[in-house]
Amino acid sequence: MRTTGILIRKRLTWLFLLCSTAFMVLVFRLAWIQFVQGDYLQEKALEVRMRDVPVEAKRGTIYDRNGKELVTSVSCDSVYAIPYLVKNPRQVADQLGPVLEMDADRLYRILTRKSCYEWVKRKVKPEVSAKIKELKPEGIHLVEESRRFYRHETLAPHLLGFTGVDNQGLMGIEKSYDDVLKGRQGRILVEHDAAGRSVPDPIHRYYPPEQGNHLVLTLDESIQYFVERELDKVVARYRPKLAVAMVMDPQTGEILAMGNRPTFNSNNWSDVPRHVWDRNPAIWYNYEPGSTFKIITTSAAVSEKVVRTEDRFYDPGYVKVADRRIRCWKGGGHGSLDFEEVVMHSCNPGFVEVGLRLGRERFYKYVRAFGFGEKTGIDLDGEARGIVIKEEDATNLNIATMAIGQSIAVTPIQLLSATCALANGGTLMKPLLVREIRDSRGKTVKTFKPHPIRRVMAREAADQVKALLENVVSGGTGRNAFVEGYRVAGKTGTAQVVGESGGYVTGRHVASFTGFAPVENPRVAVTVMIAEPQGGVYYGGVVAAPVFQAIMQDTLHYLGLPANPGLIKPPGPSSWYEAPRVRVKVPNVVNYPVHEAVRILRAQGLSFQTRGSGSIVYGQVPQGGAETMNDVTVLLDLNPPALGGGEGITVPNLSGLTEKEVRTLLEEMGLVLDPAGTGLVWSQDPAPGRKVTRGTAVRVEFRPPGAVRPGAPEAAPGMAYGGNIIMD
Amino acid sequence: MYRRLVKNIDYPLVVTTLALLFFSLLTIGSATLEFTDSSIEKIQEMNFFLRVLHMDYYFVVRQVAWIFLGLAAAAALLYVDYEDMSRYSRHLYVINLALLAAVIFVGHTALGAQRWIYLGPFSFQPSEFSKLIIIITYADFLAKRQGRLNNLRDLIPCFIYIAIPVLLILKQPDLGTSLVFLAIMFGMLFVAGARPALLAGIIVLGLVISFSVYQVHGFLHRTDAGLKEKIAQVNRAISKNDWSLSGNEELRKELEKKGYLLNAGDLNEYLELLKKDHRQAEMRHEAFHKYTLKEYQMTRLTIFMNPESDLLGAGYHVWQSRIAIGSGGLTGKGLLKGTQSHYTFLPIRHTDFIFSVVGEEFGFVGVTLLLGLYYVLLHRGIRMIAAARDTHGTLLATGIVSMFAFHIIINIGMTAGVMPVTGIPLPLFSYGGSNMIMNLAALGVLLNVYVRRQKLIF
Repeated sequence: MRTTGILIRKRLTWLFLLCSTAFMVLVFRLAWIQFVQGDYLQEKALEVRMRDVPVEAKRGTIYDRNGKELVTSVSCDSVYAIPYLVKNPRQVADQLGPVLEMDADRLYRILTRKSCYEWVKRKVKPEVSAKIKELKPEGIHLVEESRRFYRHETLAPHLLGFTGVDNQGLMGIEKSYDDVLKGRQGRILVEHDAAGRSVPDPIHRYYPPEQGNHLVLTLDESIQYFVERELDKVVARYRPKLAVAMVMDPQTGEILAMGNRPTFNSNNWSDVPRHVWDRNPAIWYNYEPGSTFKIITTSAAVSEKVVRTEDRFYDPGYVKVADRRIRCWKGGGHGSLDFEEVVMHSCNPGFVEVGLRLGRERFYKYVRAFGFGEKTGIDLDGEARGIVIKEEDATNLNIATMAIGQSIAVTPIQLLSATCALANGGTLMKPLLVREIRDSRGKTVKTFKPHPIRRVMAREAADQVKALLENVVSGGTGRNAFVEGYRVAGKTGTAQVVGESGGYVTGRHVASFTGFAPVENPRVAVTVMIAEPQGGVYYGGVVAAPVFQAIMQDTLHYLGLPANPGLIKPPGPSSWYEAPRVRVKVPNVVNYPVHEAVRILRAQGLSFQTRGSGSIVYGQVPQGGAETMNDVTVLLDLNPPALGGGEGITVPNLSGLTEKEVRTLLEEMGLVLDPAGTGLVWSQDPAPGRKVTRGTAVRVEFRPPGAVRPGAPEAAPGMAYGGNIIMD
Repeated sequence: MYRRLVKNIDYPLVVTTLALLFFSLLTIGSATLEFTDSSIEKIQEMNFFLRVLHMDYYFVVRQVAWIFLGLAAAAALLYVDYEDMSRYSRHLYVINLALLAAVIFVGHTALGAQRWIYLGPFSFQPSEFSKLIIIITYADFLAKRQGRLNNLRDLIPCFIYIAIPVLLILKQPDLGTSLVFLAIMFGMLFVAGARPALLAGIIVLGLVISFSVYQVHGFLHRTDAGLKEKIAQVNRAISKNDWSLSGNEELRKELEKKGYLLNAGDLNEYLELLKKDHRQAEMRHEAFHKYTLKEYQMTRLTIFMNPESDLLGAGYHVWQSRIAIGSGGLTGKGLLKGTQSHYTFLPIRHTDFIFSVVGEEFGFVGVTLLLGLYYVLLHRGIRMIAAARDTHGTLLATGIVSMFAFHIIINIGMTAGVMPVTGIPLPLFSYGGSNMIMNLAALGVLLNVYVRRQKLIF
């Protein structure tokens, strides 16, 4: 029969073993998939038929340095559709179109898309969502999202920035700290089939979002108010192309306030032209600093000991460098004067000579050390470096013009940092914007410490320069910056605008002022830059110095730094003014806002000291109406009295305030504003001093300024514009 | 004669086959049901028997028809003595080639391959029947050469005999079926007595060649894709005026190493050079695919190793199948309760990937039951080979068992993610007329060999 039967059997056994092995492998593999990977794959199976619907995380709050909320997130509704549930898309589209202010055809197209989830409109107004809740169209739903709410609308909008429709940071702090603020998106999973159709009775799963972290800024809401208020005045008076005012703490480099004009409302940023919101002039605008840059020249010269205070200079009205005449701002020149006077009067030929004495290498060493030509490293996008001629390309003429702040471009933040470096005794600090990051439970996650960049100059040299700059304010070109009761140092600056084609443009100037106070231990540094003021006046000492003065004065008072009543603005250069001792009647300033109260007291020649922090005077010693000598210091109590049972709140005197100021003031006190008209406060009801209960509405009538302000003197003595024009 | 057939038939095999068919119909009825309305909830709450009534019977009814046709074919093939079949083996071989050639000329294309021939309202796949025909003819071919299969020269005609139909099938293209032919060939050669070392050597050589082809392709593909990516990067830098390549550290280093300067001129020059290189690489790559497998075929063959690399593309089938099986767990989600199948995530779930549906709805219990049934089938088959009365019978049975074994192992391996996706059906289980008829007919031939295990004495 079969001759090879045994062979075949043997080979069949092999074949059988091969099959058996393969089967074993398969069984093991299946067991592996179904038992070991089973849970994971089951999860996957769930996931593939789940459609993600993202749930926004609540964006973190931004606080000012005192913990006041600047930016918060408020909830609002978004409208979405589940298209396959909309049985009659035409009708729904026609019905909803007008409510949502959308084109009915576009709505129809959205509603007929083949998907299980479509946004119809994001972040609608409450009245719209109320209307939709009322109509309840089939397949149209509302989901709660959050919208960014900028509490003070126009307070530091460039700095705070804003967010887009998905709450993503687009500008400013919102952008540079987007990762910190945004948190982690949550999601809703909805079951669906492979074609994206939702299945009957679908499984829903909710993964809650993770809330974003909070930021505590270095910004001080009140100081920012001072800045915004002063900038508003500048805009009203000079209509400049750009205006910047910044306040910084020289010891730590913390930015206390940063204001820009033109400005916008963070809540409606898209209403203004793009160039208004897409750049922050404080860190972006390159301009020729003019005489403010002489601070650097002076610091370099003093540090390198190329000049002594008593060195004499002669100014014939111009100086010749490499066949070019550089003119002094004062026609005919200052004549013979020593270095102290050169700085005081901002004499150009004097500084040109000092610059040339320094020479290229030594001068550039200080230009670079003070941080010009490089970014300050502030945590904002879009910072400019300024423009500094390359050292190897710089000619003597360049050095001569740079010594007086020409042929170099800086940004306001660079100038402010440099000013702070001088103020704190010679250390360049990195500008800080954020103090702390806190998690959603309020626990501090990260603190930002002051960050010294480098030592720029020796303390002794700095002290000398500070003394020179103090003279500028007490008796030189910067007299309009004098703050009574404090030692202020600073420097004015007026420069022509460099046009697009490169040359100077006549009639277009940049007025600036940078300085700090108190000189003995600087706590505040302010830089004001006003580009292209209209109306014929353009000198830094006239346009920018008063702005500096107002911001500095309010800030110093706000910070509660003790005023020295002996320091009173001298009437003329180089002489101290001793106020005559006369008997005066102390005016009643209780219930006035601090800065109004101060103005009234100053008008009477009285010095004062504040106690506590706040923006309203709740009490004063001596009392209003008392007769005293005018060298008495009036103590102003800013602490609100403890709210006793039926006592209620005392209505403040609002006269002369703007609507915004009134609103904030009343909010702080727990009162409600009922405004009428526009402009400044004309009348109020209830009258000042009346006791009312918390939440009472105060009816305030505003009228355009120009009309006489009732109840307050027109201007403090330190605010004299025009007349005795002090030039740069 | 009839009584002898009935007496000698292997009942375990018949029972196993019927069980498989019943299981298959149940799974097909479930797999083809899609849910898009709320009826699913009601159905899922019913008891098992009511759920059976709610299955989709469209494919089930057709499959039942194929089963009856297949049983008729099996009965017919059981009745004719296999010795008589071999008498026509030459004719069968020629008819087979003619049919396969016909597919190329009048075949109908579906799913990217030309496999079907229309006969009036019916369509059939000649390559399916070709498997059975080749077993019958090859058994005869080898039986005549018994004892003369010891060196390579003896084997060459045996290879050519199979190679001709295989090339025709590859032309369709149908890689899976070609591989089935090779499995049949090696199985039958082995049992026919060819030297194992020789066979093993050839298989190893084949694997080595495949592997090198794969590696060569990998190299060509990477060069092509790499240059393309680099061109895109340079283009991006040029369009952004980023001459210093500040956004791309790697590229900058490379350019510096090659001595280019970072400016507009040099960057454009480098771009031209890259484009030239890329054209060459692309041509080489295309030429390679022209003579070997197409790009997508290569991807499909290798994706099972890492389906996660392309979940929405080449890896989709493998991944969805793995999810389906894995999510079944021990006892499965229950009939009509699988989400992967009823929400249509699992593709071609009533044919090639039907095993995944079993895995999802019946779990590990279901798949081991199914594997058990196949195991019994193969075990009975091997017993029958041993019981055959002559070499011819032995070889015939071997071919059939090899075919079944290969189909089962490759298909289940494919759904479980341990074998390449070759698109061959699960015998007696996947939906499909030609395959079902051929498989049942093949079982008829197997039984034919078995019932005639004793030499007939007239």
